[in-house]
Amino acid sequence: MKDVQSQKNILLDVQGLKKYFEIKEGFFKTQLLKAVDEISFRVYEGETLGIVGESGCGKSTTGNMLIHLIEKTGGTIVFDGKNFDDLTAEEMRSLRSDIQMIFQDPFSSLNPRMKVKEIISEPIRTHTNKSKEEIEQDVYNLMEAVGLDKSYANRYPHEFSGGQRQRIGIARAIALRPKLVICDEPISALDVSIQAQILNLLMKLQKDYQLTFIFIAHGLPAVKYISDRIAVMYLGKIVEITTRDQLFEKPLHPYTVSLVSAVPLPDPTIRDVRKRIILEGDVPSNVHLPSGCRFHTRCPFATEKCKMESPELVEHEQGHEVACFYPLAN
Amino acid sequence: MSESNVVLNVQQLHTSFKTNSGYVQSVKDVSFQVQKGETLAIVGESGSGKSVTALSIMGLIEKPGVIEKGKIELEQVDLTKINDKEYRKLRGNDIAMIFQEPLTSLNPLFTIGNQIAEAIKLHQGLDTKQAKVNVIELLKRVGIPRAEKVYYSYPHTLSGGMRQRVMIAMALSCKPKLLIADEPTTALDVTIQAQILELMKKLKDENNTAIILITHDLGVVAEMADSVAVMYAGQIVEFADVFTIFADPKHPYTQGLLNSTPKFYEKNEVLQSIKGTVPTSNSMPIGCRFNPRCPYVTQKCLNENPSLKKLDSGRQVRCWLVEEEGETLV
Amino acid sequence: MTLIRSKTETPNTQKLSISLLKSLLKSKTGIVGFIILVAVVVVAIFAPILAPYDPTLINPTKMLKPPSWIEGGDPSHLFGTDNLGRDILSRIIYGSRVSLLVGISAVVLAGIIGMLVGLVAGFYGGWVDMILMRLVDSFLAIPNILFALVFLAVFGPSVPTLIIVIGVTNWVAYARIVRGETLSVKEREFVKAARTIGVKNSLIIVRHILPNVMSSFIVISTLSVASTIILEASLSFLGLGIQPPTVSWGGILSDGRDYLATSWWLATLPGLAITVTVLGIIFLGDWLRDVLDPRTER
Repeated sequence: MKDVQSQKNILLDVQGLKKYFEIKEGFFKTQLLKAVDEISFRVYEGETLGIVGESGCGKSTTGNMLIHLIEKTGGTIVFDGKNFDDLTAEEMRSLRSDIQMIFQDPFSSLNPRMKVKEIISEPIRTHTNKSKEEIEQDVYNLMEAVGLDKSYANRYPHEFSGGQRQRIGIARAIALRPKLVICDEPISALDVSIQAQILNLLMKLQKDYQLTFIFIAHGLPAVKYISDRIAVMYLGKIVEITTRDQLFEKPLHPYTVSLVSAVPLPDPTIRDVRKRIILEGDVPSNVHLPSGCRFHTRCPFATEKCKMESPELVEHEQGHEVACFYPLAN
Repeated sequence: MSESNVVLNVQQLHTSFKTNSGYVQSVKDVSFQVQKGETLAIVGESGSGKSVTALSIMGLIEKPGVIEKGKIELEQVDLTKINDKEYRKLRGNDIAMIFQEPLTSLNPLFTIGNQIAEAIKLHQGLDTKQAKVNVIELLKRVGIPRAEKVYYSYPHTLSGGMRQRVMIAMALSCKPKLLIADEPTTALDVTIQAQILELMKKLKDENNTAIILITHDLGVVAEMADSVAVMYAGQIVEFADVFTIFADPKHPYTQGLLNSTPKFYEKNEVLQSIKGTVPTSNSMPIGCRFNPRCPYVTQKCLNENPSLKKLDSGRQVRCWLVEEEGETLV
Repeated sequence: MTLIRSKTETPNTQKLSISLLKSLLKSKTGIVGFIILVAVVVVAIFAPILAPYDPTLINPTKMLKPPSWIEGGDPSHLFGTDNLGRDILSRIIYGSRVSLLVGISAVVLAGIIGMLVGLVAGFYGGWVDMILMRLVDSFLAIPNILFALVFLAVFGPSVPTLIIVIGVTNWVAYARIVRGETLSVKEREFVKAARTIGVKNSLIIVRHILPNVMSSFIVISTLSVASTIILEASLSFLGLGIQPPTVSWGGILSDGRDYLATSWWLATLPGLAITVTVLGIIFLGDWLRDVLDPRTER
């Protein structure tokens, strides 16, 4: 499938995706928790789409739906021309080899009772009928690709540091040469000096293996570093989606602006001169959502209209969509 | 600043933990001073000894840990020489601490008001009614809306940001001379982090409290600190004022840390990562502890550990290259 | 968290037995438990050779003789004799056979049922979990000993029925613990990772969940071998366990209760055998749990 305007191949097309959870409140009452509420976006082949937002914005739920770890409540996901809804369970299982995930916690994402080679080879053993020797060779190649010495193949995960363990998780994720890799906060549990290693490794692998990434994170600097386009989420909605440079040079949504300005910068000389919007209050709960625009309770520019009506995500200019009645032009 | 402004004076602190294979030094030869109204940031990754340093000052090192050597002087009183009872009186009165995860440091069975009032009554000898008035006043000061209601709330009903505000209120309830903040915003979302940092700055200016801020985030350091101690593998490797550290880092580790932190405002930057991993207590290299990861390593670095050398400008660096070449480093 | 082993040393299966032995030597309680258990097993296997007398041999001339080291003791009966003049030492030696057999088989039976139920209930959740757990609750509501009494009264006491009774009454404990562990392991990211890879549910259970619930399983198993031996003893004590002439520790204990005031060794010595064996098993279980966890250094 090709996008008409940009002439890029669409790998993933998500339309009106939503996930509601039922929450028991009291004895008889159940409430809906709208974790993800009708979001639409596309991912082009070979790019990295960053998804940022604070806790409760639905970014991880989105990732989990894309990889079919949880059932969606509504909407369509079309991956590589195939609609998820049209697939049988068996077809879905084989599609797994095309979409893979890198997890946040390098400690809980590896089975402590399996050796490194067993962990990395599990996808290969699950989806192919390769011989023992072929699998071993594959494991060694993968370990080399992620920068692990192959002599480590017989060790257990606990013998490695966080960064090395994340490399093992990455090797497992790329073992089947997937088309799409969802990175769910892959560096937030790592030390600063290791984070850059992993980011650079991901970028190198993307080039070598022609991977497409969805990079989910709450840390804006890392997302900015690795992404081509970025979607900003707030309380289950995408509020802004555009190219990286556009997002940082010309952010349109007040939430994006405050998010960017809230990042502490590693430069003390600008700390007193920097203009920043510090938001008041907390993120409201997903169960008792604010009326109208979900951001209006914290938005410094909110009007009566924002309290009543919910803005749609619309294209403000080419390749720059925003969900706000009063996008900040300058 | 005159000598009398020194709130905390740590000299040659050595803290060790006893393990099956002998003593492991977590903190080795750490010395620094904190002045009234100054914020000292201690930066380091996991295992750098920054938290152990904080716990040593708080007198919270428990067996099998032990302070082997060194002085910790809080306004001329050596804390390593006082007994448990005196320490308890000191904690919460003269020194206070806030932690990364506020939920674990609040008792889930008591209301917020109850817990802060308890501390105030204990240290200031107020009656219940007066204490309540004080607590509500405090809660308002740390920016908690509807403080009267929060007074009667239980910790789990508050958001992470609110809980951290409560912790700060508690820490400040007795106007401590020294506040130790151990990763106070690491568990919080970016926009909430900005609020808390702003609050800490405001309170510091109002009370002239000395703050030790322990963090791994160079952005937070640049935002908050007056001076910076960079710790690596249990030692301070560089010490300088915040502007000098960021503008002209001398130690290769500090340089590496800065190079692997996304600058954020730069377009298309390339992150340089530090190779290898942080050494653990049982794999401590001989010689300079950074030598396996250092790009400028020499024979001398492999044999001898450099001392923390004071340069003419007043800054301190632990590196042979600096010692040999005076103030310049390749 | 960096690599502890040197580069050249790679663990393999051949070395496993040696490394197990090495780790055993390091653990004091492990060694004690190991020695006790090996001793009990050897005694049980070689009972006919080791026992000085036939355990059922009645000798009216030597009734209620105290142990040989006590005044009035008979040097030919180390642990003394009972009210029928049977040699206590021989009876304890033979009794170990039944006690171990019942203890271990009943635990294996209970363990298998409990493990299966716990894994299935925990992993699949939903109504499967509901039904299985209500079943567990209803079992818990009946006192073990009552269930055993009724069952034994109906089917008659014998070694196989005893094993089945104890096995069936004890599986609920395993089911609950395994289910709880399964629930927590299921939420770990590596299980999610296996799902995203497309690993089949049955394989996820075998490969990812089972090995990670094993350590708590082993701990309760060893603890319950101990409690099973005690349960067998109590049933025998109540007269519903192993029937004479078969000897079990509980049986000897029960025979001795009437003479507790005058001839204390009748009940005390088999009781001691039970205690020591149970302790040995517990020690070994503790060590086993540590050793089965790859995180503990070998």
